[in-house]
Amino acid sequence: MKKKIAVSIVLAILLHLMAGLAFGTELNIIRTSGDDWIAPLYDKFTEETGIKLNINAIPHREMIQAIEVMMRSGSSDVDIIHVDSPLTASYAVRGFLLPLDPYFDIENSGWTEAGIAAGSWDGKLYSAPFETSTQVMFYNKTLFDQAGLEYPPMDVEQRWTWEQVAEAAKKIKAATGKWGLAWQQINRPYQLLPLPQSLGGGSGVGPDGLAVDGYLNNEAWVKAFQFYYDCFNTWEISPKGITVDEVWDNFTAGNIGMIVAGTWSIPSAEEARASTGLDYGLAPHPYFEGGVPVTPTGSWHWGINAKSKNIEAAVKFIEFMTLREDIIDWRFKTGGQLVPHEAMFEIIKNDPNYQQFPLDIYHVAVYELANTAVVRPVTPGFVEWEDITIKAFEDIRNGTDPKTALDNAVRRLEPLMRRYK
Amino acid sequence: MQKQVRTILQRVAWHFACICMAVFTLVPFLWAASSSFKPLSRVFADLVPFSFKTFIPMPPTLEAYVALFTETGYPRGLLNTAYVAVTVVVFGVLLNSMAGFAFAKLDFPGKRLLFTLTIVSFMIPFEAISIPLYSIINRFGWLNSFKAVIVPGIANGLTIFLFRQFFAGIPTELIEAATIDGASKLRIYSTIFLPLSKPAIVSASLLLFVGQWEAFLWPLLVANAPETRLIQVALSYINTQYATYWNQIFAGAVIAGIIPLIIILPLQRYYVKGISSTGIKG
Amino acid sequence: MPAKVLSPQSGGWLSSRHRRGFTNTVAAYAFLLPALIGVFVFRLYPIALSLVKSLFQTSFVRGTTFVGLENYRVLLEDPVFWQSLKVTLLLNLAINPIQIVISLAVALLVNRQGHIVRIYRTIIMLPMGVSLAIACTLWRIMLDPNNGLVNSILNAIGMASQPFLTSPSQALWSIILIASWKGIAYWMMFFLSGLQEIPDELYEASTIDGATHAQQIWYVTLPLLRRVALFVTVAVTSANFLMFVPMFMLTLGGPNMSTNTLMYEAYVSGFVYFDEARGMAITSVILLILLIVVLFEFRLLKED
Repeated sequence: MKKKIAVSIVLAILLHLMAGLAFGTELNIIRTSGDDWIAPLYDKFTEETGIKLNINAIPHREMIQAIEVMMRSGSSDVDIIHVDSPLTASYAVRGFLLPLDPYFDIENSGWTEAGIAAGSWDGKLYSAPFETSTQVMFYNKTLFDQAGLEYPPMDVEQRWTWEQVAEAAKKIKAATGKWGLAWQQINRPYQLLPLPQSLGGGSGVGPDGLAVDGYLNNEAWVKAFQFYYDCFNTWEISPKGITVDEVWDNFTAGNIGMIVAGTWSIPSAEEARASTGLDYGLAPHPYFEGGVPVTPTGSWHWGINAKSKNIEAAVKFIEFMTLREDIIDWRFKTGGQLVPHEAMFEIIKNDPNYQQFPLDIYHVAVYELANTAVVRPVTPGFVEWEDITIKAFEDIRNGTDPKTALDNAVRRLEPLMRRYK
Repeated sequence: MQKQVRTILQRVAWHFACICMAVFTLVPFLWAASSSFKPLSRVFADLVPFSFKTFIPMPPTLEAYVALFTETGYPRGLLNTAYVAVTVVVFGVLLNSMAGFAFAKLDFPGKRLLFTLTIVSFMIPFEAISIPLYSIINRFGWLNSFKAVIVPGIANGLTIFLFRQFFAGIPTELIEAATIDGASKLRIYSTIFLPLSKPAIVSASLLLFVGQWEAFLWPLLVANAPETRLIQVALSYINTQYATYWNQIFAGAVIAGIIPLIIILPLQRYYVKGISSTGIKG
Repeated sequence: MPAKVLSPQSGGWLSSRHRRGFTNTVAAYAFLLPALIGVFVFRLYPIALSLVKSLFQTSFVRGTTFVGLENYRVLLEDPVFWQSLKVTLLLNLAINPIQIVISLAVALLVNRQGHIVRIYRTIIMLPMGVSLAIACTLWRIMLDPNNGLVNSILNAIGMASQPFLTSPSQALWSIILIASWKGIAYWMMFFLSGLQEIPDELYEASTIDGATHAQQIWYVTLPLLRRVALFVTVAVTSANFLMFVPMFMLTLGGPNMSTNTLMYEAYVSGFVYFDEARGMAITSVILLILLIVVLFEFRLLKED
C-alpha cells in the first residue's frame, strides 16, 4: 500500500515537472496560405524567443469566412490575425482587433506613413504594416514583335496611356490571335480602382467612409468602366470568363500580350523565362490620357485578437516580423513582396541586384509608392463594398452596361453602409 | 429473323447510350489526367488554340506527381484522410444503421417527431451552423485534433434515412418468426438485418466516405495543424494567393477520382448481381 | 406540427401482436440513442442556435435586440430575395428531375454482368469521388467562352461558340451541367445498390409470363425500387437546394444575379455582409421550402 502511494507521488511529481517543461507560451496565428517561403522566419522566431507558433494557414478564398467563424464564436484561442489592410476598419469596428498604439513606438517605428494609414481606423493603429504592393505592366516581347509594335518604355515619365495600351492590344489580337490585355486580378477593386481614380473619380466611397451614391457611380467611374467594358465586349482584346486564378498563368503561357500585375509575380515570370523562354518586359502602370497616374497598393498586415491572452508574446512576434531590419532584408530579398518599412528603400537604392533587369523595376515601385499609390477606400464596410463592386465589375465584363451595373451596386450597398452610421 | 434484328438494334442502342454517358464523364478526366503529366508552363499554353496537344502531354513528365508527394503535405493528408474516413465509416455504419433499424421496424412514442428531426438535420447548410458548431468543439477542447472532424461526422441523418429505406424493405415476417424463436432485437438486427443489407452498407459507406472526402471548410477550421491536416486542405495550398500549380491540382483531381474507385471496385459484386438472367447481356 | 408531417413507417411489426409497451420503447431508444445524440449535439442544437438569430437584429452601434419576425418582413420587400427565390426554384425544378431520371436510367443501363459493361460502369463512376470544387475548376476551363473544349467541339460540328457561364441565360444551365457530371455518377451508385435488393425470381417469373424488357422495368423494377428512389429523391433535393460551391467559385451569383440562389445569398448575408439575422432568415425559408418539397416527395413515393 505504502509502495503504491510512493509510486503515485513520484509519478505526480514527474507529471508536474513534464507539464512545467511543456508549459511554454504558444501563439495561435491565422494567416493566408501561400507564403511558404516565410516558414524559416517562424522557426527563427521560436528559436530566439522559445515561443511556439501554431500557424493556421487558410486559402485566400476562405479567409474571410474562416476569420468570421473563429472570431464570432468568441474564441480567445486565436492570438494573431493576418489582416488584409483594407479590412482593418471592419475588424476594428466589430471589436476583433486590439489597438496597437500602447505597444509600439509608432512614430519611430520606420513603418511608412502609407502603411500606418492603411492599418489605422479612428486615429488608432489596429494592424501593423507587414507587406505592401504595387502593380506594373508586364508585356510579352514575342507577341509585340509579331505585331510589329514598339515596346512600352520603363520610364515613369513616359508611361503609356490606356488608350495606347488598347491600340497595341488590338494590334496584338489582330496579328497573333492572342489576347491583347489583361489584369491579374481581373475583377477586383484592388486592381481596377486606378481606372476611375486616374480620371479623378475617387475611391468609390465618400469622405465619411460610408456614402456611395455619387462616388461609385459618378461620371468618371462610368467612363472608366466603359473602357473596361470595351476591352471585353467591344474590342474583344481581353478574356471573358477566365477566373482570377487563371489569368497570370495565361500570361506566362504566352497567351496574353500585356498584363497589369503585382511585382510579386516577377519570380514566376523569371521561372517561365527559364523553362519556356518567355521573353517579357516591364513597364509602369498605365493611366488615362488627360488623367493622372494612379497605382494600387496595400497588402497584408498583422493584428492581435482583442481577446488574446498572450498579448505580450504577440507584440514580440509583430516586432520581430515587421521591425527587425535583418528580417526585413531577408524577407524582401527572398519573397519579393514590398515591405512598408524604410529599410526596404535602402536595399533598393544600394543593393547592386536591384540595379538591373528585372529587379530594377523596384525603382519604379518605389516611385509609385511615393507618388501614385492610392489606398483602397478606408471604410468599416469594406468587405461588403468589395463584394458588391466585384459583382458589378464581373457583370460589366460579361456585357452589362457600366452605368446600370454601378447604379445597381449603389442600390445594394446603401442599406449595408447605413448600418455603420 | 425479325427478333434477331430487334436484339441487335437493342444492343446497339445500349452501347450507344453507355458510350455517350462514358464520354461525358471521361472527357474532363482525360483532360485533367493529360494536364497532370505536363509541366506547369504547358498547361495553359496547350489550351490556346485547342488541339490534340491539349490532350496529349508532349513529352509527359511526372513533375506534378513528384512535387505533390514530396513538396506538399499531400502524403500526410492522404494518410490522415484515410484514418478519419475509415473511422467515420465504421462507426457511422454501426450507429446509423441501428437508428435506421429502429425507425424502420420498431414502434415507440415520439417516432414521427424524431424522424422528422432526423430529416431536418440534413436540410441545413453547413455554413449556417459553422459558428455555433465551432464554439461547441472549442468548448470540448477538440480543436486541432482528429476528434473535431471524426465525432461530428459519425451520426448522420442522411445515412439513418438511407438505412431506414433499405431495412423497411425486409419482410416483417422474418422478424416475427425470429421473435417467436426468442431472439432479442439486437440479435435480429445483427443476424438478420445487417447480413441482408450488404448493398445498403456499401451505399452508406460511400455516403459517409464521400462526405469526408468532400468536406473542406470544417477540416480547415478545426484540424489545420500539419499533423491533422486532411487531403482536401493540403491540396488547397497548391492554389495560393500568388501562384497556382495547375498541374498539381489536376494530379490531385486524378488521384481523388481514382481512390474512391479503388475502394468501390472490389465491392462491385454487391452491385452487379444484375439482371443477366433475363436476357440481354452486355 | 412538422412532427405529423413526415410519416416514417406505417405500423411497426410490434404494434399488433407483441405489444410489450415499455420494454419495446426502451429497446427502440437504445437503438436510436447513440446516433441521435450525435445528430442533436452536432446538428440540431447548432441549427436551433442559428435559426433563433433570425428573430434578432444586430446593429454595430446599438447591439442586439429582439425584433420578432421583422427580418422576415423585410425579406418579403427585398427584390434580391425574390430574385434569389426565383433562381432557386428554377434551378431545382430543372436539376432534380434531370439528376434523378438520368442516374436511374444509367443505373438500369449498367446493372448487368459482363466484361464490357464493367468498363462502362467504371468509367461512369469516375466523377463520384471528385469534389465539386475540383469539378468546378475542370469544367470552368472546359466551358471557356473562347478557348474551351466544349466550344471547340461545337465549332467542329458546325455550331457557334456559346458564352456558357458568362451569359445570364446560360450560366444556370452550365452549373446544372457541372453539378450533374458529378451528381449522376454519385446518385447512380445508390440506385445500383437498390437494384440489388430486387429478387431474381421476380424477373424470372415475369420472363416466363412473356414480359418485354421495358415491361419488366415498369412493372417489376420501378415499383420495388420505390424506397430507394425516395431516398435518392430526398437526398438529391436537399443537396441541390443547399448547393453552394459553383456560385462561390465560379459565378458569384451572376451574371446579373442569374445564379444568385437563396443558399448563396444566405452565405453572403451571413459572412460577407455581416447580417447574420438576414442570412438565418433566408436559411429558414430554404428549410421551409425544402420541407414542403420533401413532404410532396414522400407522398408521391408513398410505400404500399
